[in-house]
Amino acid sequence: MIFVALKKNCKYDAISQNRQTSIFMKKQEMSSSEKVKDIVSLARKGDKQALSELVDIYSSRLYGYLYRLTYNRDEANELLGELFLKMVEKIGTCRPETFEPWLFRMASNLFTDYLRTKKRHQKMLLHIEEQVQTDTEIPRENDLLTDKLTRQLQRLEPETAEIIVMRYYSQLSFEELARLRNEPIGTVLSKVHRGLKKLRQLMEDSDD
Amino acid sequence: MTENKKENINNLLSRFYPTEQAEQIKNDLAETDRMFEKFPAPQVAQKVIDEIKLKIDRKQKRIVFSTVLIKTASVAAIVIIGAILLMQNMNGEKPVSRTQNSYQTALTQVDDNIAALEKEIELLKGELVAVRLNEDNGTNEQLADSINNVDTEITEIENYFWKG
Repeated sequence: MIFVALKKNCKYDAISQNRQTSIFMKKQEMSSSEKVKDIVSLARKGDKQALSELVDIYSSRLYGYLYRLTYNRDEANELLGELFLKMVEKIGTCRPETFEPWLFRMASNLFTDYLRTKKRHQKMLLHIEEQVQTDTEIPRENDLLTDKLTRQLQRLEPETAEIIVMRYYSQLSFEELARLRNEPIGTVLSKVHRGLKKLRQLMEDSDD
Repeated sequence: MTENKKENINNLLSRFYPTEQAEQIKNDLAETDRMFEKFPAPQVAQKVIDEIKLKIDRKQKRIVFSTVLIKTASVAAIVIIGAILLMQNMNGEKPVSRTQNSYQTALTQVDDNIAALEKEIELLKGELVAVRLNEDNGTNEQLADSINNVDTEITEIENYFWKG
């Protein structure tokens, strides 16, 4: 009898603790989003400290996003710098409550531009290689440095890889992602679904 | 990072997929999150962040400078345009006032002339009435002639006046 009562008590405690943790997390999330709103409002007025805080808050996630897609630390560094400079330039046009999607949309546009430039360079290099007719393959430094996940992401379609990486690093909901990409939510979901399936397969088949 | 996503994934997936498939997608999502955590991306170097902050500082200064420059230029442009418009107005008003003044002066002169002529006519009429009253018997021939002359003169003046 006592044992049953104790067990019930324990169960109740665990549920109550879970609920409290969830409430605490929600409160923390709300307060952090409120804090970001305040910081963005200050940054819009040109507050130097606020801009610096935004760099501190978002640099890690944005760097992760850019690194996963460029597979190169130097390029990710360069794009990150470019992105924050654009943020300073255009922060006046952004509403504090939609700052995160706005920032990640800018990152996505920057990545698209980067891809276009890269494709142009690759075409040029291919053309030069054909002219020189070199059969020796230059080992790519990136391949040695990047991790298994980044290498497999590289094998996906750039658009699919971008949605998966964006979803993880931006922490945006599917609805926000769909709005950001100007696509119906169902389309985004199916792209993610197919991408994830393929990525899992690639990870499993990988020899690493 | 999954917990931070502000959405009910079950509700969302059930809107688009049958239960079994929705469950599989949910698992895939969770698995991907685990993979990302297992293979974390490298952290951005503090040196890079410091450089970015420095660049932002420089950019902001440039933005502030260009804003001040644009504001100053706009104010200067407004002042210059205002001054030009003011000068144009001042130059434009003078000929108008001159014409108006001369026109008014001419009108006043004509009015004065008319008034003088009217007065003269009235005087002559008065004199004529007085002479006719003194005429009593009408025997004086010389007087009658002069009366007629004055009468003719008045008529002539009147005619001349109305002819302009």
